[in-house]
Amino acid sequence: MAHELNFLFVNIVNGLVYGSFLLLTSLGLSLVFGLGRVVNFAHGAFYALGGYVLISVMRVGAGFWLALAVVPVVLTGIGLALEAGLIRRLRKRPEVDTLLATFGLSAMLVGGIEYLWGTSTTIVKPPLGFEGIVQVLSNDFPIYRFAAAGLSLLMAAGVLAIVQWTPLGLRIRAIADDAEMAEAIGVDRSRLLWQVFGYAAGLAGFAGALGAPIFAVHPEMGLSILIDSFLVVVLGGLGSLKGSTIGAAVVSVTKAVGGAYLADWSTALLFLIVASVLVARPTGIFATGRIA
Amino acid sequence: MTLTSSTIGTAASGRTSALVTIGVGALALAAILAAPWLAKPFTITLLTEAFVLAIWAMSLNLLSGHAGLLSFGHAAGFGLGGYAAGYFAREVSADVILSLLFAEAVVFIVAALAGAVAIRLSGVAFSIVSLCIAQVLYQVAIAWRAVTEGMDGLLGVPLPRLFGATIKNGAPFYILVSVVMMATLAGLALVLKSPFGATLRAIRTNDIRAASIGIDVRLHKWLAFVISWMLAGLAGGLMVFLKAGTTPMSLHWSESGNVLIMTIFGGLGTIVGPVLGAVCFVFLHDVLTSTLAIWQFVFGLIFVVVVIAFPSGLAGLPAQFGKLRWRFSR
Amino acid sequence: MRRIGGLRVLAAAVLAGVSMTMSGAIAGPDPIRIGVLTVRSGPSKPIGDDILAGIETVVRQRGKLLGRPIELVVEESLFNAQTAVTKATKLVQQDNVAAILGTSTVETLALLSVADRLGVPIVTSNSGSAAITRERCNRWVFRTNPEDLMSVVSLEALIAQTPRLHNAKWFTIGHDYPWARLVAGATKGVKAVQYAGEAFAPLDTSDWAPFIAQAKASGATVVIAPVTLGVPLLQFIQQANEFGLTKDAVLVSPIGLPDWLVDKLGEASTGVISAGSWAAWRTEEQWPVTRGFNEAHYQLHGRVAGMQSLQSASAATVLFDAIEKANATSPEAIVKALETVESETPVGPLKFQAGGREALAPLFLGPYEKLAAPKYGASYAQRPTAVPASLSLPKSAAEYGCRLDGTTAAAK
Repeated sequence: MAHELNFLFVNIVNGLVYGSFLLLTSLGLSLVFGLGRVVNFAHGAFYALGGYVLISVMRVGAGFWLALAVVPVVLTGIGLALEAGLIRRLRKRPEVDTLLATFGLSAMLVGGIEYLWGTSTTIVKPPLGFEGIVQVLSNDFPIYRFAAAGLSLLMAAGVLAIVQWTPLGLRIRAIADDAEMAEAIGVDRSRLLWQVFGYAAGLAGFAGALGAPIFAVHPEMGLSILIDSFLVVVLGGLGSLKGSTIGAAVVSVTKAVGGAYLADWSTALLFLIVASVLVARPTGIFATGRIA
Repeated sequence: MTLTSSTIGTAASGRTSALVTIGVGALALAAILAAPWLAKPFTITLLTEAFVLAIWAMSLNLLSGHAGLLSFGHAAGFGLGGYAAGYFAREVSADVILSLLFAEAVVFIVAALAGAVAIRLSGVAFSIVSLCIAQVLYQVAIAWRAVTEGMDGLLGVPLPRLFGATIKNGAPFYILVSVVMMATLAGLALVLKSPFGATLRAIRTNDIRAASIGIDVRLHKWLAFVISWMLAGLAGGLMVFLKAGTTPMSLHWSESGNVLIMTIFGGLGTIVGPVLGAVCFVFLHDVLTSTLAIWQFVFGLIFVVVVIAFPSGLAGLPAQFGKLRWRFSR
Repeated sequence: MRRIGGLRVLAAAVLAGVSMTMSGAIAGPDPIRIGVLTVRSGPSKPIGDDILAGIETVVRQRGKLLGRPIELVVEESLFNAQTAVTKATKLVQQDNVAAILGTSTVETLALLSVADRLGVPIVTSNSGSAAITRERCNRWVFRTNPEDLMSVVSLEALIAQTPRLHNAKWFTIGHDYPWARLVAGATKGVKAVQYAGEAFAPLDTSDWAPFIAQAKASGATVVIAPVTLGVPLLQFIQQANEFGLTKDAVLVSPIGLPDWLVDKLGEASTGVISAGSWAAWRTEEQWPVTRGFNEAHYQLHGRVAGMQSLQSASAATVLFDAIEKANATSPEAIVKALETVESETPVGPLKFQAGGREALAPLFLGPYEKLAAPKYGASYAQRPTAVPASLSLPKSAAEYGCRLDGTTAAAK
């Protein structure tokens, strides 16, 4: 019995570690949709780009932590540029247009990564002092996984705090709540969407870089986390950050615990759970904005 | 049905344009059927594939373009139809009509159940639930090894037979697929011009208002869902004969993405758009993957350019140029 | 279609055309075209790179075939069954290739269904799935690499020669592919194996933690990993290291590690034992053909000849020998010659089993280790012991379910 419980515990912890990465990518996806009705298929490519920028900065000679700090800055810049150059042009168009455009953008970014960095996989070593194993209840866990999960959660908490307590957050919440009313009282929606798109790209890139020592870096690394993130966002309720947090935990723990007990059936279980929740609550667990 | 005429109003135009449509249609028909004698064998191979995909894209267009239910999991009906037709052809009879009928029966049963659940939703929730349904079927295809043979896939599907005669790959199968594709196109065009099509568009535009004037929204959505899946199953069944087999990848979300891209690229909510989209997709994909290591980049670039420059897809091109000319002439 | 030496071919064609129009002189002989169908983009591209590099090296070594130049026509398969069928059709219908090389399991399985329609010999060198030459065997499809069941049979030899594997508890972590289940099932059946359990991961798994946790919970001391070569195997080994699984247990790869992956894993590769690589470049210490190939490969590509290069080169060598033996390029003649050809290839002397389509290919067992001095740019490599096919393959093709007469009759 104790043995069984311990096994469950190990898998829940493993799930939550993955969930912390998922949370970072989901928050951005949710914000961008909540504010701009943009279904961003390129979000996974930002995640991958984060890993590659990390590698490049490290090759120049920077240490892991410095490179990790540079990644979100670069990715935010890329996000801002792409929003201004592409997404903004589609703002008055139906949602499917942004969907198709970001799908194309995703293919371009992945193709661009293959062109610039090649297609092969790169292993990134965990930073000094984080290579070993730590024992929790006599189970082995890699120290780096805990450090990375902690850092992710810290970042996520920061995002939630910004949205909750700063003037920027106030404007974000105003737009998400009622875009027309917010604009009427002087919130510059266009500028805000631009900023949020950039920050979301930065967050996704940060997650990709942080995950590099665990999952390695390759051009298509963003695909599976993109699908998982969509599930998280829709499960939690589009535009709801609280929902994304719950969603990330549900999705990741289902994957890990399901994987441990049901192996190959774990993904089917995940999709069944998401479908059931949506049928019961079409707007997700915590809906804030209106669903189109 | 005053609503009907007003919604079709956009399509209603002068007699000349109807004549032009018929003329262009007849020319296209002749060109399609004459192709085996004019084009190279491999062009026919690609066209066959494109027309099969065109049927699939048209089925998605019915659901997403006309009924407004954007599906992220449209590989479901396609893959399911492929497995059912392929299994029947290999184990029971390679008769193409019987195999496809069997496939349609299987797809109908699953679609009727899945549809009853999925159409309760709309918007993004529908998209994600449709994705979930397809992914569960994908997992079933991997795990139900006794029937599907797992990731190896269903292999060794024989050449199709029609009225006792074997239909060879190449020109004969191409003609069969072309006829089915054009019949589907014509059938869908008629259906969409009928009150049923108008009702679907009314639901797409505003389902609450549609319900308030007495339309049974759920019934119509369910019908669109089931018909759409069955057409997708027809395409899947034809594809399994073309490729002599299928794998769980035919149910994967990346395939759902491909058909969505073809359809939107061709023109969501139009009639011939999906056919154009599928043909362009197949030929572009073949040329780019064969010539460029960075084909993904160019592929993506083309989509981005098309979306920005031609918002209504390929099918909207003539109208767009028409508008341009009209603007200049003023 | 990417043509190798396309410019040169183009220039030759232009020159030929010019000389023809000017003087009506006879142009050079038509090249013999050989199709290469493999993955050319995405994270699995290194596998395709190695496959292509091996074939290119043999083409360079040979120069000509039947007095005609060899032209490779490379097509992208995307590692996708449907695309593979389309592209193989393109190679036959548009490029008139005499044969197809380079396929892996995904493509080969898909092509088996259409092999009779394609009507050209397919010689695969990178397909593990046993069924390809067993119950699904087809007269057009030959294989030079040892299949998975041969690897499993050689497990007994591996256990006998490796003290660390004596009295061990075995656990399988694999992908949910039929071949992985086959490996697991067969492992369970090996006499010397005490079986602790198994877990099959979804195909898009990037986090192997749940499966590693199961292996750890079972107290396994050997983990056999039928995981897809490439990114997934790399992620798995890296994470097994991360969780300290490699400290408690020996990793056994049923089909070996590609050398580009060994290079990336570095020190981590030394925790892995191969239960049956399809080739190993250090065979050159016993077999001069391998040395000659390794040197040519290094000269042409600047890197060590990997497992897949050596194998694809062996397939190309066998095919080219068969074409010379047939003294013709018609598909039927090549198939007939392939059935009896005997070749000296970079994996050793090869010929196909009588009445079947599986080459009597050796397997290479043994651990990965750091080299005393880097060679051909490699610092880590397998220390191989060859197990001949006579120990791993049943004596006759009919015994394992390959009945070519039946399929031939059906095809006609």
